[in-house]
Amino acid sequence: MNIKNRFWISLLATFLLSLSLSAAASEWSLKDNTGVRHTLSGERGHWVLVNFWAPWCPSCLQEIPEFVSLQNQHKNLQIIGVAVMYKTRTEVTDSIQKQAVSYPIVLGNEDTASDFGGMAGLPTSFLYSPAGQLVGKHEGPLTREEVEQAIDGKTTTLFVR
Amino acid sequence: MHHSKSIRTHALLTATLVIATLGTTNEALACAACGCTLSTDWGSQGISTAPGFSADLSYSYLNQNQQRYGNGKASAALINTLNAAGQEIEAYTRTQTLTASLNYTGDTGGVSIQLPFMNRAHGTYGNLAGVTGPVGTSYTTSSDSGIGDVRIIGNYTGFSADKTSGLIAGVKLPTGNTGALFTSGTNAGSALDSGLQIGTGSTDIILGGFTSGAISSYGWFAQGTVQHAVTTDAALGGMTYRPGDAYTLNAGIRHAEFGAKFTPMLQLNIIKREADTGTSVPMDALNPAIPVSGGTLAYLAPGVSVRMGGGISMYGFVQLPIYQKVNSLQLAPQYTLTMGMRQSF
Repeated sequence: MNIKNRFWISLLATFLLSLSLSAAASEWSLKDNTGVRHTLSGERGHWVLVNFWAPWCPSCLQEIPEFVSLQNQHKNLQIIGVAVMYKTRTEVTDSIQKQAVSYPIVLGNEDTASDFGGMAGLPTSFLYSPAGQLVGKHEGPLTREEVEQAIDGKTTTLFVR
Repeated sequence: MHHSKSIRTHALLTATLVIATLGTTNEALACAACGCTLSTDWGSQGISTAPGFSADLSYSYLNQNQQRYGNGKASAALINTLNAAGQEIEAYTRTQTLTASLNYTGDTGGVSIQLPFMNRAHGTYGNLAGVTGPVGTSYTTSSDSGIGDVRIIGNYTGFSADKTSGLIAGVKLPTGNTGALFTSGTNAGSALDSGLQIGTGSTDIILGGFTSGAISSYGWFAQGTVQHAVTTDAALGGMTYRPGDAYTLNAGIRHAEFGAKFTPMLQLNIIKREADTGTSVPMDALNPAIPVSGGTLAYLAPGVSVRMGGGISMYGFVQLPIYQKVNSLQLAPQYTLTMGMRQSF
């Protein structure tokens, strides 16, 4: 490989590395299906649980009633559901109506997931402290009790960073 | 003066990186019990899975400056022999392409309109048959810029429930310029050969298929297409030209979580291009049965895609030749570059 080739390949590598670094953002902004925008900074003072799910995913649907109960019982907690990998909006709205979801639902996509750093499976949930710090990520279904234990500091292994 | 048609082969090969808009659903790639969720958005390779519209702007750089004969580098002795026998000896062909694409992906398929803007610079030592003098005596160059041949590619994924496979059908229109002239040197003002024009002058149909899947956390795709010219225009000076049929096979693999910001990937691009035909197509000076066009090329293309947020992705690839077999003496690139940006709406 001659010097000119190396130059072009180095230029490409530098270009892509700079893109990768600039893409690392911490703040997120989610607009729910009623048009309300939720941001990490805007939720200061509350625990925040961001739950990624899909309407075709049995494990995701299984944990939704747990979250509904959790949201109704804890005023210092804000749950935000992010639906991804759905075919149609109707598919999502049918699911949330059937489950009587009481917390905001965002119609997300892969770019939405990218703002949280990506994920290997569904459901995946991210827990933030009232100070806006990421407590950690949990892959797999959660129960109401598990989230309550995490908020109460009784477990530190459920959500990992 | 005749000029080899090698540029067509390589230009087409480069285009294979962004040739089609495919659609697949994600459900089929999710493991049982939602255990693993793999990104299926191959948008940086023109394979969009996100429903709705997307726009793509890509730049590719192709510098053909290596003399090859058959499946090896052409020796100086062979070049001198061919030159003495009257074969044209080219110096370089440099092609830069900026392609704007608008894509739509629906429930059972999608369509992509690709509009290229091209610059092609070419230099040749010419054909010394009947000329007394050393190589370079008849050196001449050309440069042309403008809209290239527009492609409209559709795909249909409604044949199977998982929609991970589908068919491709499209058309390449003769919108590119076919009337460029040599701009300097001994042949300034004379017609540039058909194979070096920005447009082929032909309307081509493109047919193919694709499939994609996942193995553990690795996603893969394979895509094959056939391109055939159905109508041709007469070249300058009444010469006829028909680009040879092209058969492409592209396969790619990558490791990617759903929503990953940084995705490395690797593609294998293979293209077999039949020789061009027509009165403006040159033949080998030593063996008149061999046309100076067509060949089989294989490239390995490592690349990366980076999600920038807001639906924007940037990507880049380097195509490195791993096999090149050309008919007669043709110019080949030592690498190609492609960089682009994609916005989903």
